Amino acid sequence: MTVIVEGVGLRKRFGLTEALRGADLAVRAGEVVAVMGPSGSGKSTLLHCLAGILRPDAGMVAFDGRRVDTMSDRQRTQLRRGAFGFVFQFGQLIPELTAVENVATPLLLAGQRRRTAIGAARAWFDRLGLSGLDGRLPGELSGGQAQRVAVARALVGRPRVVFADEPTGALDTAAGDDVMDLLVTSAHAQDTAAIVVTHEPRVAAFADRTVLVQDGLVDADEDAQLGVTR
Amino acid sequence: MRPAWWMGMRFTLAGRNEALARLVLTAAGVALGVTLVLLTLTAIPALQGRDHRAAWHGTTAASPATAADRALWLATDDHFLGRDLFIVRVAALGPHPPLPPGLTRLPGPGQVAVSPALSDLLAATPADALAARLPGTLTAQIAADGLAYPEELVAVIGQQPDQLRTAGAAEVAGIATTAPGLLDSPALRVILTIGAVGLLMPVVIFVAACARIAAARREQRFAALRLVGATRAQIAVTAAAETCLPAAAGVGLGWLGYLLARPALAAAVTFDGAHFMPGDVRTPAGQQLLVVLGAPLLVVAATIVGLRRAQVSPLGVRQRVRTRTPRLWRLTPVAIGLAGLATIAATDLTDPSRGSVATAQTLIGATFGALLLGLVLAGPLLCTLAARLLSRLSRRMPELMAARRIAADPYTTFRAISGVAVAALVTTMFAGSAAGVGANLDRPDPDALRIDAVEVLLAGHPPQPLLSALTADPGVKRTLLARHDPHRPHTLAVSCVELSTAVNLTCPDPPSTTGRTPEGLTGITRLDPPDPRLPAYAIYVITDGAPLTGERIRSLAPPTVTVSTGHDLTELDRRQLTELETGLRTAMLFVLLVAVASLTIGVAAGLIERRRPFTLLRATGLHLRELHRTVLLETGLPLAATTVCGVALGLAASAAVASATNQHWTAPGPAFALTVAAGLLLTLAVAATTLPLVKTVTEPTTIHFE
Repeated sequence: MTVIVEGVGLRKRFGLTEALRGADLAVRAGEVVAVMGPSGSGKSTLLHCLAGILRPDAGMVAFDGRRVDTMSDRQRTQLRRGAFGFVFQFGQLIPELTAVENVATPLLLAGQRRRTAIGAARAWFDRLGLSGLDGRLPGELSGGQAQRVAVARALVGRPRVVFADEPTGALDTAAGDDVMDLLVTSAHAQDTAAIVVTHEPRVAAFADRTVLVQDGLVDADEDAQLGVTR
Repeated sequence: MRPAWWMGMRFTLAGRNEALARLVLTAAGVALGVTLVLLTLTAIPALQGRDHRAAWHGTTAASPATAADRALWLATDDHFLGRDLFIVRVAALGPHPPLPPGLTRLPGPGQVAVSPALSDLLAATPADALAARLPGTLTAQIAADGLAYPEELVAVIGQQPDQLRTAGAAEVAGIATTAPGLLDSPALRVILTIGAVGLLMPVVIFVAACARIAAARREQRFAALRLVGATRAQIAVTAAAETCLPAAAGVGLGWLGYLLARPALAAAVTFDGAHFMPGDVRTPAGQQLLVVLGAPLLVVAATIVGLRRAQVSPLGVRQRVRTRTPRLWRLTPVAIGLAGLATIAATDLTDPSRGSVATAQTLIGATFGALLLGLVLAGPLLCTLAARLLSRLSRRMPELMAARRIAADPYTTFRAISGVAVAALVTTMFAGSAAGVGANLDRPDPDALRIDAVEVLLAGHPPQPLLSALTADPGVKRTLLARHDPHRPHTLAVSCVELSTAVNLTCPDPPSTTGRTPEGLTGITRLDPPDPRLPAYAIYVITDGAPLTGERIRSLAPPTVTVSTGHDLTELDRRQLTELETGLRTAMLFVLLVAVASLTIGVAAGLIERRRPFTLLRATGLHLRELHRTVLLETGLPLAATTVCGVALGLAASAAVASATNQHWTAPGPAFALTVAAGLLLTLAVAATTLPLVKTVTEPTTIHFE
């Protein structure tokens, strides 16, 4: 399989703290990769750099052969809208919009007609096991339900890569497993790559491959050792 | 852009209580601002209208022809108990003479036309004090077209042509229509602009405070939108759509407020002791359109500018840049203002030889501008210093929390209280000046007529028979004839000791015959003792002090003789001071109320934004009263620090102006100190009304995760 997202020699500093010190990571198309590591190791920073949210101080990020780190804000926004999806731990749902409107947001922003976008979003609710909840506001959903809505929103535009930062961090075991199962199954079904940052081995076990980030570096040996195919 | 617009509308209409509160309060703020701007813009048209209406008063022989025939015209400016009285004596020289506005025909000999206010006054005043000046029968009333203001005293007296020619009347072919422009000076425009900005600033702060309600939540929402691919432009459109609705509602309400307030304004506001004609208190249509279209654009532009933080990154508030600590350069404008005050204090603004009036006005305007701007710029620095002091002195958690909170964002802290600080500066500056002016009015003014004296400048008229008539008046105690020497211009020939009974001056002792200027009398010298062969110049009349005595003396004098009473100038000064006092007091009350409203909203918004950490603190054992203490300290400490600075700058400014105008400066009395203290307590009390909110939003049971 071809490499879809690649980070080479990534360095990122926040004030005196060096979050990334030359991290390398390549993710193949359709592959689900778990990024593990202790708190403060640089996992989330790595994810944000690969997703074009943060610009690395040094190194290179490429998506589908195109340099992301040198793209303008507008180009990176277009990438996030069309090619990337995101699932974070908290707060990415917009509280004023209903669940189905939240899922439809990327399609609406891309210029689809509202009826078409809402229709496409509603189709996800049966797949998610959220039938009848499409008209609810995020505040009226449980944590697990809200994360499933977030997964639907990340996948509704059929992105090439989904970036997930501790997607189960606020959920209990059962709800967390549900969300990960949904994310991985849907990603595989759409041939979407997924990069999942987590500190839980149980969550990482859903991935095709696991890499370990420590002190701002991707541990190559660990990458090799932990690399497993489900 | 349609989805972004739709989302903005959804956020506004389907948002939570915070969105509704923001909508209502922003609309209210915009409405208040629009009403104020539109009402302020009525000032110039109202003044121009009054000026234009009085244009016919300036009719002379040189006025362009407006009628087929000519008329004789003799205009005099008279007074009655401190009010201006304009009298014009006319005689038609043909069937179609020039006609002043407000009249359908020129009064014939023996006929008198008067304004409604003069008609009422005549009915309520003894004839010898007023009617005696208007010989003839009242035959017409001057309509509103011919009046500069509703209570104007005007009389048009018809007389025989011969009689008028003898009195020196001019032959006119037309009535003047060009306004003299006395009420539309650049200085007045500058004063109005400063006043408008002073009133608008707290309103702008209020709107900004409304926009900050639930700002963190809003920024998170925009960051979430950016994360899923919204462009900066789409976020801007969403934010604009969110703001458009309250802005549009505010503009509509504001315009309605203007329409409703306009008649009340015309009825309430006086300038130079008189109201404006209601029809003149009107903002021109073009300016109304500009405000109605411009206000929402400004609000939307301000919203988009305020979005910068959410646009830094799709990670939004997590990437928020740490607020920069205010630097010392912020004291520069205050330093410039203080230097300006020192310059003003060292200048004699009453001496025309020391520079032009325009230079003095520029100096004063620039200095006050620097002080106001300086206080606003230095405010965050003062808050930081106060926070550092509190942090150093704090022994308990609430003090430490309040100090850290102020130090973390001194700009937001000061923004909430800046209206009160500015109000403190302006109020103090005025209170200091008013105390000085009031004290000076109570002191005898050197070189001015004594309060019980009347000066009759004869202007070539023989002193008799007026002198005899004056002596016969029951209110006249004594008369004094002053002469002048044609060979010595500006010379008054009168006994200094006698003159000192009518004019405030100190005569040299022993009496001098060299013509030395007595102390307190500037501009003229005197010959002592007077030479009875010299021509008569003026009659000084010492009266019983009753106001009507002075008016009877005016009635006795021929039309072209100028009569001044000791009351005239002090009455004018007092009237203008009272008007200024009333206007500024009302403005300051308004500023304080809006500032207090901003403060309350700011405190409430801050509480809502920090509900989570506060709730967690309560859940971990922090007492509610300690949270209350934190909230009050966060507001009270910066408020006290900046108000003290505002008061100090205001006192310095009033002292400098008093020094420059050779006035005795008097510190505002205990009443002012009490007012400031009461204002501060009121502000804190209103801020304290948000304390029940602390309990509501931090109930430990409200801890939940979305």
